[in-house]
Amino acid sequence: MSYKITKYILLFFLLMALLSPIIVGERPLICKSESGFSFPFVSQSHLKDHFNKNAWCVLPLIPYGPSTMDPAAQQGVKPLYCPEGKSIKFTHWLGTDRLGRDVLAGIVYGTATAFKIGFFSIFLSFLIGVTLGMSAAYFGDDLWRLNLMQWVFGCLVLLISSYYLWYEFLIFSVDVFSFIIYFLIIVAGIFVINRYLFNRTNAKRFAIPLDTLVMKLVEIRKSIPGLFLILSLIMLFPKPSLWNIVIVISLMMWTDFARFARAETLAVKGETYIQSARVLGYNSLRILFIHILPNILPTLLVVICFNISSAIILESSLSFLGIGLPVEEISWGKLLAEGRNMKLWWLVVFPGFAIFAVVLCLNILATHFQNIGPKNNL
Amino acid sequence: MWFYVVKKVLLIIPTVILVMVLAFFLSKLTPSDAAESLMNLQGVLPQNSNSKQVYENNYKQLNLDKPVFYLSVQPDFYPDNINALISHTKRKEVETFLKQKYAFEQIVRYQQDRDIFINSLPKTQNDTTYSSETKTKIEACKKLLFTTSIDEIQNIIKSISDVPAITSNDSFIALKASMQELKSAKTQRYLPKLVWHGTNNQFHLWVSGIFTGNMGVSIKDGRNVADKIGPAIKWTMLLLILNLIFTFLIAVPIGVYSGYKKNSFFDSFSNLFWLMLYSMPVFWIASMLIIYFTSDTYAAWLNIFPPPGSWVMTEDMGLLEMVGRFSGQLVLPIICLVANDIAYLSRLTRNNIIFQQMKGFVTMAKAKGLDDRKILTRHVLPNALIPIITIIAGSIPAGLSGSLIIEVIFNIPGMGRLMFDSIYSSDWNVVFGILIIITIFTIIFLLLADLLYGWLNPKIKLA
Amino acid sequence: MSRIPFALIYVLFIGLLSCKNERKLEDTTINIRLKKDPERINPLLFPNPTAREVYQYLHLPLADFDPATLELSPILIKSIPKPIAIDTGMYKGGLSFNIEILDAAKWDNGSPITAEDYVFTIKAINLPLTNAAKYRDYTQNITDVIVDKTNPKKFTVVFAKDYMLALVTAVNIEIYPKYYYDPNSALDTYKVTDFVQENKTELEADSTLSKFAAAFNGNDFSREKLSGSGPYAIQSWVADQSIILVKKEDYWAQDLDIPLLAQGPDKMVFHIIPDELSAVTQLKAGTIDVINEISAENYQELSKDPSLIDKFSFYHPALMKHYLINMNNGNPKLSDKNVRKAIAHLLEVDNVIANIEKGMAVRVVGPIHPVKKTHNKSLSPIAFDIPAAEKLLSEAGWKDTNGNGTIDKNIEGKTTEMELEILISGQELGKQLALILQQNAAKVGIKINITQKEFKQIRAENLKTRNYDLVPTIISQDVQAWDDLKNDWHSSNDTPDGSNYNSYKNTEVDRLLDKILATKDNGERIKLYQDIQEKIYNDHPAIFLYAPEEKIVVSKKWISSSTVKRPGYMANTFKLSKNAVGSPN
Repeated sequence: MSYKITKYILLFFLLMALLSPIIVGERPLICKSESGFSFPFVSQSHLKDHFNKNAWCVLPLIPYGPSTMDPAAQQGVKPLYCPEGKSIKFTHWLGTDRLGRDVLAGIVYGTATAFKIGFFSIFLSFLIGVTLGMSAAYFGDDLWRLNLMQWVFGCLVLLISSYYLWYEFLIFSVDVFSFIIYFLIIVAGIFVINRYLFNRTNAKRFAIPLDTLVMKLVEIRKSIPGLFLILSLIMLFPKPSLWNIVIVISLMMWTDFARFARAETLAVKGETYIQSARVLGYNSLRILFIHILPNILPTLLVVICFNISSAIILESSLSFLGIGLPVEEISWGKLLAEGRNMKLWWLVVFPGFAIFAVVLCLNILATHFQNIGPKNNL
Repeated sequence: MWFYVVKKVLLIIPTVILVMVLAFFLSKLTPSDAAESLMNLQGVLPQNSNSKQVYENNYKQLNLDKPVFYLSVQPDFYPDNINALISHTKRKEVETFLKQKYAFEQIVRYQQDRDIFINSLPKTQNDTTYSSETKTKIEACKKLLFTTSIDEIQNIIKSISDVPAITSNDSFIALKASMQELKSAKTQRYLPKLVWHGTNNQFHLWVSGIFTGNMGVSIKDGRNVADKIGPAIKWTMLLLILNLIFTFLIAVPIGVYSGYKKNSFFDSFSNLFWLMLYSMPVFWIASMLIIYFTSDTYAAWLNIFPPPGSWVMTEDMGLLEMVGRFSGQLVLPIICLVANDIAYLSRLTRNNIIFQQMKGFVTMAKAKGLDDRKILTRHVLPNALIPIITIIAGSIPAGLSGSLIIEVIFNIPGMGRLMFDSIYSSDWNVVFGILIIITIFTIIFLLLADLLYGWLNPKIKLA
Repeated sequence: MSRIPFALIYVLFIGLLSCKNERKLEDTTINIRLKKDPERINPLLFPNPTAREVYQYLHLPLADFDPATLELSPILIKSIPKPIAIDTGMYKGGLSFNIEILDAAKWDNGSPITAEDYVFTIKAINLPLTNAAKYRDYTQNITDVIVDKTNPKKFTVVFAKDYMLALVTAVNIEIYPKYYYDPNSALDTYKVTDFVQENKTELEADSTLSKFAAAFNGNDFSREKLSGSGPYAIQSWVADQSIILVKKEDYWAQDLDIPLLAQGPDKMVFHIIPDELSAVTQLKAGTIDVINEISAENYQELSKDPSLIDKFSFYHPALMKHYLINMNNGNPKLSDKNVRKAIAHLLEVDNVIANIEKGMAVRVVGPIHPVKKTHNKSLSPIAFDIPAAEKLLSEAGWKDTNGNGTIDKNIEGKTTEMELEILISGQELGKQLALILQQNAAKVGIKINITQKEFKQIRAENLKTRNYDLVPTIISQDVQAWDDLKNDWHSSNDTPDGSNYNSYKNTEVDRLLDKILATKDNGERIKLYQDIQEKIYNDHPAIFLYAPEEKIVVSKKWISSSTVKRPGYMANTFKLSKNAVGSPN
């Protein structure tokens, strides 16, 4: 359909997100003074020093930071308003909000926020969901067998380490990221040790019912209403931050990836090339990530596109309800929420249109991938 | 078949219990304090002289002084049940010390000695025997009440040790000793300690209430949880059913026609159009609709709908009666919900129709000379509808938790808003009540969808 | 076949559209918007402001503050009693009040309101087993109530100790019908003095009392069974949707000219609409007549709309609360009063009032609301003045020595950067204040970090433990003349359970605060209050911002008025406007 245009629009937004620190801001990019060139954009020094003693400055394209309050444009000025006595460069192209913050700067900066949330939350949920879903389908309920030593060692280490990790990183100090990273390291460690130390071939082995476990986990997550999960998880974080939202959204969305990855892997699993890889004695990890993953990726692209757009919408809905992002962080949803009563229509129309455009493009992209997918599945 | 149903129904129980345990723990991890919420509802401000007493009363009344679960695994320097400290200030202070890995016994001893010491401080205000420097030092001692940093405590004690009026005091010596003890009681290595609390715990009390059919009362308005959820579920059901009916009636014909005229202008145009509606944030559409179509501020001819959100009614009204009475006000929320759902369902129908049309029986029918229309309505459509109906059945439980945004904007007292308000006012009994009901519904509807699928599609045998 | 669903949709849609219900509003019904469900209507047990909007028509106190003059004026009693000092007997040094209830005053069942009911109310509050904790804080000072032997409507209230709020405590309490709330006369055998906190365990063991308390605290008396002496009675209450009150027939006070007893509209319908946008739309559409507590922006827009000016009356009476930013005076960075003053210089409060409150607010300079007679008018608000702030800071030794853009100072051998954290809750005002402060503070080199938390959490984790730098809060006051400033400003309340959250210490203020309690002369008291304000003003313990105004819009269908007393209007005094009768809505 309009796939090509879509691609370019998305690329445009992506570029805007990546370059937002250069496009938006009140600090000059380069300044020339008697002492030579300086780059106030990267330094932390006092802002007004630069304007006093410099011969000339190169300002960013939009010379307002996303949260700079322009005293000359308070109470929300209309689009195309230029403060008196200033050059055209200082025009508020899309107007300002009640505190005098430039809407265009907000939208550009909001693009970065939206993409950060969209990409990182989908990356995390992809990681969790696809790993679980693929291995559930690949190993089923009886293919992954461990001997007694491996069972005992694995369970013991897992229990003890989660106890210490829990207290060290979630109670004594709150550091969710270290918690996740250490946890992953320990799980990997258990794998390695189990494989090389306790792998006695002749011992009796017991299977891990991986498929049942994963499906049960999906079922439990699905039967807890999303609203409860979001609100209670957000309350757990001591300070609001963008990364909290990312973690919460990925905890919400991994089930989609798990279900799709599982279904697709099941379909691929029976194919001859996987069977032969198995017969050749390739290790499971290699089969999973080198043979299966590339084959199911096209279908997962659909889920990725849809979920990025739902993550962006979810964030804006949360901002609308006043939950989640810290006060200084600018996002489209926040701008929209502020303009909700339509007193300042430019606060509604432009950010609303930005969300709409990105989400629509992602959805069109998803439909496109759906149509060109290997099967025209439902 | 029956065996399958019974097995599935029995499997609900462990899931529900797991969800309950999970939700319970999640709620305990959130920093909410129901005793304080209740105190605020009673109109008692923290500066009221009896606020401490009221807090402690509520704390006990809500069973918050009991351990959380049957057993707990915690570091060995923790007390068996920290909830037994009913004083809010004391408990919080102990918690901060524990987080720095000081042992519980020493913390409590330090607290006692410190309080005795602060109370024994001379009243310097109108006393001229003290120099102003000494007075400030004595004043500074009161900082001990707030600090939980051992370095700061040490500094304060050090700074006061050259005031003979205080150092000669017994309480000062005791304080100094217990501070030293506390300092040396900091551990770096700790072992897990397993504590069995028995059945006298918060979880047990709550769960046994549930099994006797009593989900507890809301701390907000004292009503039974079931009485609160009842009306909310009625509203949510009302919206859900209307939403499903309209979505189905609009999306299926569109999908069928798009599938029938695959890749036509209509197909791509309707696809783009519904996708556009789907891509708009709900709160955006909803707010715009309210602003433009419910009053004549912008233009008199735009004033089409009554402003939503005023539901003067009696408590025993039925669903149909509600539809009849509030139909005008329900139009806008239904439009918002439907506009969002059409894209998905029409797309699904379209793809299904295309899929079915590629099947052998269609070619057969064509070969027999049946006209296209008849093939579509007699053969393709019934087959294409099977997965759609099961998907709709499966989507009902997700809708039961309500659409928070729609409920907030259109002022509908449904499940979403009830849950939102309850979470934010730490009204956990209500939250758990909603969770249990939704979990059970979810699983039942998923099972129904399964059965429906098997019944509509005899090829599939339920294992 | 495929046309049938389309046809169905059209029919259904047209059916729905056609019922844009022209709801006929009965002319004598007033429709009022409530911000949220009042949850429980019981002035003694759950005195929350939303419930007050409803129960002010159901339950009456003996005396209340007059909506116009704000002086205590009698409602159910003949006159405001004069305090009588007790010179002899066991209560020597105490106070007493002789009170007589109006002869005509009656309950719903026709029985007269008597001293018995008053005694019952005081006992029910003082019984430590009931939830009436808020009032108990005051009424526990009532030592005894002596009923006149000859006249059941006459009684004497005794305070064993002189108490500043004695008069208000004695008469400004909603009284409950004893026959209704205590049908078994469970409290009759006890004396007022029996119910003290020390006896709690004994009282708990008493089964009659615990049964009474359970019933009294129970939901019935806060929701199902509501009966009071007010001019209206509750007809129905559907949670989260609506509450309907109806005028009482043959009300005993029809001839009296007391605002609280007036009967205006036949019916009051409270629509519970949390979302302001839909409430305003309903107001415009005419389904709602009264709306209060709306944002300044909406109020301004409504009042400036020429098409609405003829339809609505607009009121913005003063509101008995004001905003301030608490500062932790105990924090070494903020312990210098000049630093605190410098930060106060950084906020453009007048601009905030113009932008956020649309000019409908008054600057505040101290802990006392400007409309009160105890307010010290000689103090002028701190101006927005960045150069002055810079000067104060550098005088106090804060300079950017390491060139990182943030000023610093050597405190006890350590270089401390002036980095402050402002903790805010979800309120829009707090967010905007924080952002403005952050921006202006950056100009003088103070770095401000904003952290958002729930206010409950801020209070528990930061205010109570004095582990904070800046927190915006609200001070709410009553209309009564004498505020108790001791809780918030006396240094003895600088404890984890006390509410001197600023850690404010000034021995002189402590002395004056103690002196107020012992002073009886009104003029002298006012002088003391003003001195305290001046002392606090000079110390800058907090940034005092402004007192917002209430914003009320009432349909011109009604002849209406507003008052400073919460909730700002009294719908029972509204009369149907002559020109509105008969005109279609």
